Amino acid sequence: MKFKINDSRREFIKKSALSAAAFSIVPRFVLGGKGFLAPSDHLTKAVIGVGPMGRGHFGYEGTKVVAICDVDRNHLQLAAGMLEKGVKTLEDYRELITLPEVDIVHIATPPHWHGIMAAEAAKAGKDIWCEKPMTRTIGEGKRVVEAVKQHGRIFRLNTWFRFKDNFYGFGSTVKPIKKLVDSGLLGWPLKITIGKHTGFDWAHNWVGKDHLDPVPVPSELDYDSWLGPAPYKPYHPHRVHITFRGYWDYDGGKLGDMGQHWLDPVQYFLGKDDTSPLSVEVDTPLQHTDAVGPWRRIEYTYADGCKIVLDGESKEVDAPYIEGPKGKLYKGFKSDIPDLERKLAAFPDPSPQVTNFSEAVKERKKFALNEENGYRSCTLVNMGVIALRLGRSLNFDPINQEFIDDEGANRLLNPPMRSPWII
Amino acid sequence: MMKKIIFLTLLSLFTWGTMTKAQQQNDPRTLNTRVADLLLKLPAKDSLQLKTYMEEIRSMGENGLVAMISMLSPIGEGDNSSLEYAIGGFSFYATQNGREDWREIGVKAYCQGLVNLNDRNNQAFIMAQLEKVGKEDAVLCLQDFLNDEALCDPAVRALSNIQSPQANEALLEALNEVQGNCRIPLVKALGKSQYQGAIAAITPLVEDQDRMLQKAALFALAQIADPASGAVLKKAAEKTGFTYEGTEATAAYLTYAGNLIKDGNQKQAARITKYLIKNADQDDQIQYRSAALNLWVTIQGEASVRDLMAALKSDNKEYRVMALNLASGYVDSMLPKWLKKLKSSNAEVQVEIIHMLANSRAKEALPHILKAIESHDRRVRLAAISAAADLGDEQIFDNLLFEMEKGGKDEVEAVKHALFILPGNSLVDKVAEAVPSMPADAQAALIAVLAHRGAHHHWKTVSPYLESSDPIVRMAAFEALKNVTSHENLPELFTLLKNSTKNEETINIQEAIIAVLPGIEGQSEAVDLVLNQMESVPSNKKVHFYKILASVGGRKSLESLSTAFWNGEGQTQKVALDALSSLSEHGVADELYRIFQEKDNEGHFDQAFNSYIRVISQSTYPEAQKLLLLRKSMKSAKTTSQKGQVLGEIGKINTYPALVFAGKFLGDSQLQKEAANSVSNIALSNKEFHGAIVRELLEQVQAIQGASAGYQKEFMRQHLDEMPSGEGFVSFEPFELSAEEKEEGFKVLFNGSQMDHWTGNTKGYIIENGNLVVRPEEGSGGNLFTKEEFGDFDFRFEFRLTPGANNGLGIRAPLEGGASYEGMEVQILDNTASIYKDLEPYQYHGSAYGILPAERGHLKPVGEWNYQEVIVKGPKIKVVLNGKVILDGDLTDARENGTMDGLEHPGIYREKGHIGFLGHGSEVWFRNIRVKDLNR
Repeated sequence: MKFKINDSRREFIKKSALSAAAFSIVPRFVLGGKGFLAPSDHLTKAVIGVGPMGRGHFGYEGTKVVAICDVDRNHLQLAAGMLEKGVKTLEDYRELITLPEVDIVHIATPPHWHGIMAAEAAKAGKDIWCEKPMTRTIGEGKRVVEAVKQHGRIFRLNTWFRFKDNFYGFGSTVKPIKKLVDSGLLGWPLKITIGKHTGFDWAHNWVGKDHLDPVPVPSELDYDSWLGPAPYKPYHPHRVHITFRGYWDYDGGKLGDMGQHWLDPVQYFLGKDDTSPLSVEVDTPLQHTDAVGPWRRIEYTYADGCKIVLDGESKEVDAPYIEGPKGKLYKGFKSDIPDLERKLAAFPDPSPQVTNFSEAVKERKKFALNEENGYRSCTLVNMGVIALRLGRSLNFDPINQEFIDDEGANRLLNPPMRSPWII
Repeated sequence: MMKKIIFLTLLSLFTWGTMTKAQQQNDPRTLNTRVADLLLKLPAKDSLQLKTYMEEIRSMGENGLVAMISMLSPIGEGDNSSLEYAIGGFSFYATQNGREDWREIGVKAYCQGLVNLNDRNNQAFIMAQLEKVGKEDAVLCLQDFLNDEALCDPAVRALSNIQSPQANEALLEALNEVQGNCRIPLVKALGKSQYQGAIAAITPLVEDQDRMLQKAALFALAQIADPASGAVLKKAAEKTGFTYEGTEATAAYLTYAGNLIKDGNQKQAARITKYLIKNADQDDQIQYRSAALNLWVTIQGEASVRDLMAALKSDNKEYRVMALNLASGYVDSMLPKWLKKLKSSNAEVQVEIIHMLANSRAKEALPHILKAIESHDRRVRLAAISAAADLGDEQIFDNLLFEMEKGGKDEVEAVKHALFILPGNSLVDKVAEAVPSMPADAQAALIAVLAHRGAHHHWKTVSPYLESSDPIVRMAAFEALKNVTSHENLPELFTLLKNSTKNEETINIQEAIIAVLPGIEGQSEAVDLVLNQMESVPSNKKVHFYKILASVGGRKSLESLSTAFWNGEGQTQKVALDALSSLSEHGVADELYRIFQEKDNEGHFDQAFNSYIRVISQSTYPEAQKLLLLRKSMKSAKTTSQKGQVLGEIGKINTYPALVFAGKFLGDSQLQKEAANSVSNIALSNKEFHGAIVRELLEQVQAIQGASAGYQKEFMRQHLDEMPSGEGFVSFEPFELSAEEKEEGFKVLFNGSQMDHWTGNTKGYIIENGNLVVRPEEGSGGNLFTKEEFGDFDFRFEFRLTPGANNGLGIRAPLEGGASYEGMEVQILDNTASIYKDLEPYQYHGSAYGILPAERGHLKPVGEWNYQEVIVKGPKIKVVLNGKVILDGDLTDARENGTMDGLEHPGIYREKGHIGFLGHGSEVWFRNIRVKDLNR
C-alpha cells in the first residue's frame, strides 16, 4: 500500500525550508481548524502507552495529540476522555506509527517496548519522543541509534536535567556545574557521589516480589501485547501498571526508573557523551532472577579516572557532591574553594543546547538529549543493571560497547526477544 | 508426577551409594538436608556470602542442582523463590571466566531437569538458564522442544545464543519440519547467526500469509546477505511502494545493502543504493531515501560529496539536512567546495550549511562565516553569529561588535549570547573598551556581558552609566553592579546606597554590597563596617541596611535587627522582620518565636510564624530538638494551613516520636491529609519502625489515602504487607515460674533478661524485649548450651518461627562436635515451608533428628508462639507441642538396629549432656525457658 500525503502539516515540515516566510502570513481562517494555530506552530503527535505517564504528556507546548494507543482499554478510555473528539484510539501501535498525519511518535510504554517502537517509528519516518530509560538493553539502544541516524530522524529522550530544572538534590541547575567542571577549578579527574537527596528516598521502593501466585488476566488488558518482546510469565497485577519496574524483564527497579535522571546530567557535565566507563563495581545482595531487589552501591570508572558513585543506602550524608583534586562542590553550590561563584564568572559559558523539541523537529536540529548521548547515559543504567543481576563487578570496552572477558554479562547485552518481535 | 517420584527415589539411592566415607564424616547431612539448609540461607547478602553459597552448590554437583529443579512447584502451587535464587544465582555465577566446569555441571543438570519437569513455566525457567550458560552441550536437549508451540520460543532463544554449527543445523532441521508459530523464532535465530544453509528454507517464507513471518524472513535474508537474495528483497520492497508497512520490506532491503558493504560487495550495494535514491524520492519515502544516501556515502566516501551537494537541491528539508549531516565527515578536505556552495545557495540552505560547519567544528570556515554575518538575510546573520561563537575566540570580537553596532535588537541579543561563551582572557577588557562608543542598546548589552563574565575590576568602566539618561543603559549598569565590583569599591557602594531613591536601584546596590562583603576578612569586622555606615545615615535610610546585616550574620546583626523590629513600626518592622527571617544565626528561631507569641505583633504573626518554621526546617539542629520546636509551634499555629505546614516539616523528621506525634492528627478532619503524608513519609523511609502502634497508624493512613491512586499508596500497601507481625516495641515482665512448677522443682533457664545459665555462642543469641532471638546475620547463630549437664529432664519453652526457619534443640549433647550426631537433636522447623517439602519423615519438627519421626500438623501458624515440652527419661523421648503429644519414642531399637537415616549417631548412647539451641542460620525466637532435672 502506498499512501499519498495530503496532510498539510506533515508536508509543511518536510518542505518548510523554502516556504516558511510565505506560510507565516497565511491568515488563520484560510487554514481553519480549532484554535486557529497555523500548522507551523503545531506538530502532530501520537502517544503509545497512555497510562499515568503518557497521559501526563499530552499538553507539551506546540504539539497536538492526534492518536493514542494502549493495550489496556481502561487506559484508552480514560485518555480519550481527556482529549478532543476525533483523536484516534488504537490498540496496535503498528497502526499508529503508519498514520500519515502523525509527525511525532511519543513512546510512554514500559521500557521493554521502547527499543522496538523507537526503531520502527524511525523506519516509518517519524520523529520520536521517548520516555526514560531509553531502552531496556544496550543492544536495543544501539539499534535505536542506528535507525534514528540512518533514517534521518529527530529523537528526544525525555529526561531534562542536563538543560532544565535543578539537578536532583543539588539546588542548582546543571549549567553552572558544567561551567565549573569545564573551568578546571576543581581539577581532574572528578568523582561524583549521588545519594539520598538525589531521589533515592522514594525510589528505594521499586522492588519486585520474588514470589507471586498467578491471577487471571483482567478482560480490559491484552496481556500478550503488554508483554510483547518480554518472556512470557504468568500474569499478576504487580507485574504490570505502575509496579512493573520491579521486574528485570521490563525495567531495572529504581536504577531503571530514576537512574537516567541522575546519571545523564553527570555524563553531560563530565563531557562523557560519546563514551562509557571502563568498569562498573557493585555491592549488592544476590538478586532474584525475575524480581528486582535493593542494592547498596554502584561505582562507575571512566578511562581518565572520573568516577560516578550511586550510594543506594544513603550512607554519604553530604551527597550529592563533586570532588576533584583541587576542590569540592556541595549542594547549593557550596564549595571549599573561597569565592567560587565570582571566580567562575570569568570563564566562558558552556555552548547553548537545543532544548525546544518543536524547534528541533522543524529545523532538523539534534535535540539536546538525543539518541546518541541518551544511549550512552542509558548504557550507564544498563551496565549497572547487568552487574547487579550478575552480582559482580565488570569491565567494559567503551569502543566496542561490550564487556571484557565475561560471557555471562555479554549475553545480557542483547538477549533474544520473544517472538514474533524483532528489532 | 510419576516420573518425578521415581526419579527422586533413584536420586536418594544414588546419593547414598556414591557418598564416600570421608564425605560422610565431613558433612554427614543428606543431599536433601544440604539443599534445604542452603535454600534457607539464600539470597546471599553480599559477594562473600554469594561465593560461599555458590561453592556449596558446586560441591553438591549436578545432583544438587537436579534435586533443586525437581523441587520446583508448578506455578501457583508453591513458593519457588529460594530455588530461583539458587538456580538463577548459580547460572550467572557459572558464566564467570574460568568456570567452564561449573557451566558444564549447570548444563547437564538443566538438561536433566528439562526431562524431569512437567510444568511449562518451570521448563521455560530452565530454558532461560540455558540461555545464559548453554553452549554446544545444550543443543541436544533443547532440540526436543522446537516443535512444541508453547516452548519452542524459549528453546530457540536459548539455542540462538549458542551460535555453533550444530545449533544452526538443529534450528534448520526444525524449520524444515514445523508449521505454525514456531517458524518465526527459528527464522529469527537463523538470521541472527547468518546461516547460509538456511537461505533455501527461509526464502519461500517471504511470501507467507503471516506478515510477521514475512518480516522475520525478510530480515533474516538481509542479515545473511547472500548476493543471490537481492532479487527477492527488492521485489518485496517494491511491493510496498517503499513506504512503511507491517513487513518493513524496504528497511530489510537497506539492511541487506548495508551487510553487502560489510562483506565487501560494494558493487551490488551501490546498485541498490542508487536505485533507492532514485525511486524512493517522495516525501513519504524520505526516511528510506535518507538511509540509502547514508549507505551511498559509506560506499563512495569522499567521492560522494558532489552527490551530497546535489542533494541540497532537494526541496525536502529533511533530505537536505541528512545530506549535510553526512557531509560533516568530509568538511576539512573539501572546505573550498563547501564555501563555494555556501555562497551560491539560497538563504535557507545557507543557514543549514552554516549549522553544519559549526557542528563539524570547521575552524577554517570561520572567516567565511564572519562574512556571512553581513548577509542581507536576517536568518543567515543570526545563524552566522551563533556559528562564529562556536568556532571562534576573542579575536572575532571586532566582527561581532560591528554587527552589534549596526544590527537590530535580535542581532544585539545574539552577539551578547555569543560573548557569553567566547573564550579569551582579555575579552572583558576589549568589551570594556568598546562600551563608550556604542549605541545605547549595544551599551546595555555589553555592560551585561561585563557582568556575566565577572569583570570585577571594571567598576570604573560601568560607574559612569549609573548616571545615564537612557533608562535601559542605566538599568543595565545597576544590574551589573554586583559583578563588576569588589570589596575595594565598598565606599562607593555605600555612598550610592545613601543617595539611592529608586527602589529597584537600591536593591541592586544592596545585592552588590552583599556580594563583595565576603572580601572583608572576619565576620565581626564586616558587621562593624555595616553598622558604622548605618549609623551615619538618617533614620529613614537605615532600613536599607537590614538586608545587608542579615546576609553578614553574627550575634550583633541579630541584636541590631531585633532592636530595629521591637523599636520600629509599620514598614520598618516589616523590613526588619524580613531580614531576621533570612538571617542565619543561632538564636534567630527563639527571636522569631518571641515575635509571633507577642500579642502586639499580631500583624506580623504569619510572617514570623512561617519564617520560624523555615528556619527550623533549614537548621542543623538534632532531630529531637527540631521536633520539640515544631511541637511548640503547633500550639500557636492559627490557621489550618499553618498547622499543615508544621505537620509537613514533622514528616521530614526520621524519628519514632515524630511519627507518633503526626499520627495524633490523623483523626482531625482538617489535617488528616497532611498527617497521613507525614506518617507515611516517616514510615516508608524508616522501615525499622514497626509494631502494633505503627501498624494501626498506617492502616489509618491507608483509609485516608482511600481511592487516590499513585506511587505513595502502592508503597504503603507493600510496606504493610512486608512489615513484621508482632507487637514491636513493648515492655516486658521477667518470666516467673507458676506455683505448680515451683512446687515441682522446675528452675528458670531464661527469664527474659539474663544469660547466666548459658554458654557457647552467647553473643549470637540476642535478648530483645524479653525474648531470645537468633538471626542469620554475621556473628549470629551457632549453638547456645546450658552450662549444666542433664541426663533425664523435663524441658519447657516457647518458640516462634519465621518462614523457613530451622533450629534444633540439642539434648545430651557435648559442647564440642556436631551436636545432632554426637548428641541428639529434637528438630525445630517450619514444616510448612515449600523448601522442606521433600524431607524424610524423621527430619520434620519434633523428630529426634534422623532417629525418631514426630507427628506433623500441630505447629501454630508461622509467627505465632508455640509451647513445647520435651521429656527425656532413659531411652524414652517424649515431645508435647501445644498440648499434643507429637513424639513418644524409645531409643532402644535404634541403639540395637541402627537409626532410620542409616547414619552413625553416637549420641544415642550418651546418658547425659547439655541442652541447647542449634542454629542453622535462620531467625527463631525463644522465651520462658525452664527445666526440671529428673535425676534429682
